[in-house]
Amino acid sequence: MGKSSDKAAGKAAEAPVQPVVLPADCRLAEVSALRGQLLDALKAPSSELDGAGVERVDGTAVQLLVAFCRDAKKHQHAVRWLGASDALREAAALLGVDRMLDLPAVRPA
Amino acid sequence: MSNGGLAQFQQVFIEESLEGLDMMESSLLALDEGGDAELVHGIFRAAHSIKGGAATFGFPEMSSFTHEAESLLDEVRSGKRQIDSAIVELLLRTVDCLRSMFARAQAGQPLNDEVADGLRRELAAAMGRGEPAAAQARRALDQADAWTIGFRPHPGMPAGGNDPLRLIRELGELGRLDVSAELDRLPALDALDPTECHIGWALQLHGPVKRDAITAVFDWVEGECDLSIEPVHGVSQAPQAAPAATPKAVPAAAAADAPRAAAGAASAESGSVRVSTDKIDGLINLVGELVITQSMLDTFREGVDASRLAMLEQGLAQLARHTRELQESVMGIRMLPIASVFNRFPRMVRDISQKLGKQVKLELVGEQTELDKTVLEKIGDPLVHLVRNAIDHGLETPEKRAANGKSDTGTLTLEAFHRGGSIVVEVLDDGAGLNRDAIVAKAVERGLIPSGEGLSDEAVADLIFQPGFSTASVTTDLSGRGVGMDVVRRNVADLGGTVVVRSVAGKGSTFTITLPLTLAIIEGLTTAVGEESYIVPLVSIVESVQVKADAVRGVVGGGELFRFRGEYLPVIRLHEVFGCAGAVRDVAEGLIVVVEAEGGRVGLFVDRLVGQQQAVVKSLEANYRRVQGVSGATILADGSVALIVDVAGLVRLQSRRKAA
Repeated sequence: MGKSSDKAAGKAAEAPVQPVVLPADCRLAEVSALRGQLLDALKAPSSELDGAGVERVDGTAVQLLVAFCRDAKKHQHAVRWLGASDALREAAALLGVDRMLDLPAVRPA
Repeated sequence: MSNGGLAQFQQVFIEESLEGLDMMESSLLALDEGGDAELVHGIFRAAHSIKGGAATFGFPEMSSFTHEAESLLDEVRSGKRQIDSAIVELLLRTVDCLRSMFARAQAGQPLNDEVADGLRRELAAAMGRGEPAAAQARRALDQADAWTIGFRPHPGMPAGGNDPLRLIRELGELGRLDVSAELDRLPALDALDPTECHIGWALQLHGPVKRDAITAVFDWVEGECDLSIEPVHGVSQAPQAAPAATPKAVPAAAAADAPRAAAGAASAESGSVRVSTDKIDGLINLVGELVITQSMLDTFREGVDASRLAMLEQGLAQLARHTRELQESVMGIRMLPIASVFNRFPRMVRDISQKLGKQVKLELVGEQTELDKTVLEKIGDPLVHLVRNAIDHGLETPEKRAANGKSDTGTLTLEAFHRGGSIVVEVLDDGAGLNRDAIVAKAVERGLIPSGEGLSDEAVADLIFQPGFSTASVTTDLSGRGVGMDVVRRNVADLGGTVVVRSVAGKGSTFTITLPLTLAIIEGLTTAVGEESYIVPLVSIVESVQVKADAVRGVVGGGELFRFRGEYLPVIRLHEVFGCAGAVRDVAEGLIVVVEAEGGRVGLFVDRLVGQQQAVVKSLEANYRRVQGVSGATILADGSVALIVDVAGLVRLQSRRKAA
């Protein structure tokens, strides 16, 4: 069997990745770094997001999450929220994307 | 009349008007090509109906706008003015503008925009008048009980220190706010500059608020966003009232729609179908037959004796026949002629060919071919892509054509027809055909293939569908069709269809899209995996083969390959993907079903084949949740649930692993 075929099979079952933890200050200054993490997360078949610790959030961060969730949906990549703070949920609702992000209804204790 | 009642009629008015606009457009195009002057009367009547209806149903802006166009048409009709291409052009733009006004009316957004204002002035100028009074009256409104606000930040707004979230929060302090985000311009994550803003918002603010209070919120971002503020009209009720007014008559529709409700695109699709009376009469007739059969079978309630067995059998046969006919008729309600998609092309071809300085004759064949409404709505964009590419890259300029001994005018044919259980849509051109050398060169440059040697013409043509092939730099007229062909293939695959290209150098190209007639029912092959059943859509199956144990080999880093007709294909063991217990593990005891999707082939390893059957697709998402590798579910005759394998998803998953 040729070498190229060996490469083709690649990694089979991948271990679940580390959850992406959103920073407490989730605003413009952080979005570029966060985008990198989300792009990495998309490479796995599924990912977990933790937004429980978000204290401050702005439109760019919410937009980034929307783009991520939309891409995930398109590629049938499952996204699970481990938690979402009140600040995050309020921002998503104000910007009309709460259903799209599918945030958990209540913050887990 | 309550607002809800008005909204119900508004919806019908909008649908009828859109049909009127289609008619206006095709008549204008015919006029432009020297058509009968009688056409002007038809155009005038359509404009007149829209004007009258708009005034009645609470769209004064649209009524006054159409009035300008109607006046112009009236002068043409009465012979005071000669129709010329400038007037046709102006009226065509008026049609476009009205279409977008209707789209905004459906979305509950303000009807007027700069384009409408500009056109209104142009129409008035064509009539030899100044700015119409209606535009001035519009500005007079300073206070209202509800406002619609269109807010589209420019990309650089966040960098300037202004956060859309803060602005919307401030708006929310003025009154109750309904927010709808517009994501149409939001790029994919890998193309997104996260420090820029690419979302827009359509907002409705309820409460007695002055215009000044709203503009004050946006004072600081003037010049950093597009903003429109308009008092609300009755149409804002439409979204709530519409579902009650036009219930989804077909349960299958929900099943088909749910998994395919594309984000963003949904607003442009109307949720109702206009059905011919003939079809409804047919349905009522069938239901009547069913009732008769049911009452006949009912007589067996008291018990069955042997003498009446024949009658029972006859009754059951009747029931089966009527159920099948009823199913076909109900499916038929969702079937619409493809003409509604084809009709947009005469205009588009005219505009593009004028822009590119090419002469193109468009031929439409089989416009009455019917297909499922959902398929119909989704096939438009891929077709637009193919037609655009055919004119841009396929057809040559008149000079080049003449030099090659062809007629100056190129022919572009759109053809639709039924073949078996599928519908076929072809885009044919008599242009230069695909340029094999250029494609091979491009593919080698992009690292898609090592060289073009030994590749059949077919295989080379197929390269244009590769994702890496479509880049903006592939737009020269020599280098074949590159732009977004992978998107075309992806879109068609999402509908469960395929697209292939045939091309003869110097003679032209044919793109053939094959689609299932409906998304609500698929032809599938039922396979057993352990104790479970999985259905593989028939369209994606290449072959089923039994292989020897040593034909499948594991490779370094995991994964397996097997040799199939000279190429190595990855093997996906369904029992591993879906975690089925008690499945066959020995390769020699099971079967490999070779499937194809998005240009890639894989082998699915299953225990055995059970048989071929039609499966009514039920949405898994609506009833449970999305599962990777599964596109839906169906109920088998014994009442158990079988999952429908998402072949494209599995192939994608496999190629992602390959890339990893």
